[in-house]
Amino acid sequence: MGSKREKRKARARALQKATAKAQAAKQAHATGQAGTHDVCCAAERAAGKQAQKRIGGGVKRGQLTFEQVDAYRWDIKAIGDMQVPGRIYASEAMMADIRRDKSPEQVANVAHLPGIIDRSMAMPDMHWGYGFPIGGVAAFKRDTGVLSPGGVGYDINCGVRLLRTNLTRGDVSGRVADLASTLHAAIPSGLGSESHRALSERELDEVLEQGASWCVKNGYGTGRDLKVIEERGQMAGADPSLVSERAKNRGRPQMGSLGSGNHFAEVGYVEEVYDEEAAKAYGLFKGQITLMIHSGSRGLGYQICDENLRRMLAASMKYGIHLPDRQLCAAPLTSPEAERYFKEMACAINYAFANRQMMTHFAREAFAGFFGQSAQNLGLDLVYDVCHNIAKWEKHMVDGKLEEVCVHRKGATRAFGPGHADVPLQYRDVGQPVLIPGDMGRYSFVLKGTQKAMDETFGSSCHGAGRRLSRKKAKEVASGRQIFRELQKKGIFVRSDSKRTVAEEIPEAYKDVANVIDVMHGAGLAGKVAKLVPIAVCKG
Amino acid sequence: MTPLLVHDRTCTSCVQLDHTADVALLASGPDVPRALAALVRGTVDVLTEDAPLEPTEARHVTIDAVDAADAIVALVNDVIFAAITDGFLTAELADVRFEDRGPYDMALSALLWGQPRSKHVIRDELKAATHHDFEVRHEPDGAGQTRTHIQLIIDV
Repeated sequence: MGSKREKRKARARALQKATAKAQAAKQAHATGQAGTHDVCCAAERAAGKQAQKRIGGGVKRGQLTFEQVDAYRWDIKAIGDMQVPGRIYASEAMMADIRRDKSPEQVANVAHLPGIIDRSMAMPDMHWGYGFPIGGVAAFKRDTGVLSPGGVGYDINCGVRLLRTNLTRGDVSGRVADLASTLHAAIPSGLGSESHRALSERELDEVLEQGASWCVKNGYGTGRDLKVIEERGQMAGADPSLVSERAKNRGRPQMGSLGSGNHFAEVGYVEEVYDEEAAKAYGLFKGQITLMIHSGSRGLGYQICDENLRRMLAASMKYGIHLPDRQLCAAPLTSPEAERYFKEMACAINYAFANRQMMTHFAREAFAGFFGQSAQNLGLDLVYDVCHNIAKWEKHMVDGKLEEVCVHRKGATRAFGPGHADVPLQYRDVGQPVLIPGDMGRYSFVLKGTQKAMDETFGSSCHGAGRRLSRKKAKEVASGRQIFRELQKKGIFVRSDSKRTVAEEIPEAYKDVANVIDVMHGAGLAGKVAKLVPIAVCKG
Repeated sequence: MTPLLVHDRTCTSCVQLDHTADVALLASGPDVPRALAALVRGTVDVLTEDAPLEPTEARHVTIDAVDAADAIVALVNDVIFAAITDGFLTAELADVRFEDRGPYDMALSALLWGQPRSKHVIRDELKAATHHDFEVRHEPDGAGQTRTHIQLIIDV
């Protein structure tokens, strides 16, 4: 084990040296110093030779060894080229399903990446993703670590927000169907859906830089909203000039729209409160009507991810990063490629914040028109907005010291505990709200972040239920059934322009999110605060 | 103008595999260009639910990529972009050429023959072709020939 550690350190030193040499040569070449062209090329060739062009060779399922730590923690032993062990948070019952999936191999594959700290982790809603598993969390050191677009996902800053109201179930009784239709008409949704508010080129660039702040400045929200959005709705470091025309062309007409698939706008009510103190801090009470919106960066984010995957693939080869899976392509955090991806990713993050803020505005207008009162009178206030596909710099304790590390969360939610400076002041005593949507037929949950999450998972939690049926299978299961009517009988009014989407999104297609929540709560990574039950669902 | 058909459709196929989260396609043909043509048409078939298409115009695409796999994924993404954003549905793929320009430098050029989307509705939103589990295999077909299979997963 000692010699393995030595070998890993030696590889990391060699990689750093090759990177620095290539960067220095490039800098010298760029400044036109005499004789630098040959030096540049020689340095690149040296880096290239040293770079082992290895894709594949990751850990296979049969090689994995699982060690149960306790009722909710399972460790994957570090073998082969894994830099660190893996950890899966799941119940024993869940592990039976998880072991049949390829996602544990993906946890092990992520552990191969250079500079990874402590463990490659996966939350209980884990399932097979692209490179990183969905539900994957990994943090990397600045000087030796890497940035991987696969650790963020295609839908950059896919996330969810929750609004509370002063309304109760009684206030909407007998009117839910109409409310569902009103909301559906107000928020553009569905395949290629386009916003009610088209953006000019200049405006799009402003959105990419300012995020939700742009919306507030232009009358689509309030300053109070910004205080309860992760990163205050604006990721620093965005550079719109780096974003391609193709990405902008995809994004420009779509801001303020839901999209399709598993994105939704959902009216619900608080069925149960588990933590009175936290619920009170969040402004939630039993029987209260709530609104949840789930969406991301639409076509713009997908395009940015796709383009950067290509750059990162080339970068992986250039810097000699072993890729057990191509989709794990990465570049050193200090490299120009990583810096570029950070700046473009920040644009997509800001776009998604603005997207959800714009839809909130449309929803507020819809509620105001429906109930004949202002959104302010209705108390339609934002509780919180969380990302669940993101990579960012955060300060965490590493080996007893506070260190800035790059945390990747792919299908995982930030869950900062009480006292953290990044938790809004009004929530700081209880911890950050963590919003976990389930499927459209059952329930969603509000949790709170904990110190345990800070200690173990870089302040991270699960993000949802996770699919258990493929879309193809879900359509087969739904075939011949009247899904809209079935849900209506349960008191849930669904509105969608696509019967196909609703078939793909039937409740049975998803795992029971309550099981996921029980693991998070049992492991101490997030505390249960409230359960929300849907009554009106708008799908794309 | 008649498109230069790369393949006779009867010798290629594209099927959708079961995949939990997204769309997985397995395309087959006597060689890479024809399997790729089947993959492209299979992608558009998912978008349009197998709508019949009549190629009336051509677009030339050139893709710069890291390697052949990257080029193929990029081509499918171009086809998806053309369909959803540009309003152009690809019916046939012709004149496929790979050019290996050196380490990590591959070019792929092709003609996309298709038609405007105006007469057809996109039924399924495909977001992006991915590198995950991407595979190109050459296997004997049992008749003394080799058959090329391309597996691709598309994020929905």
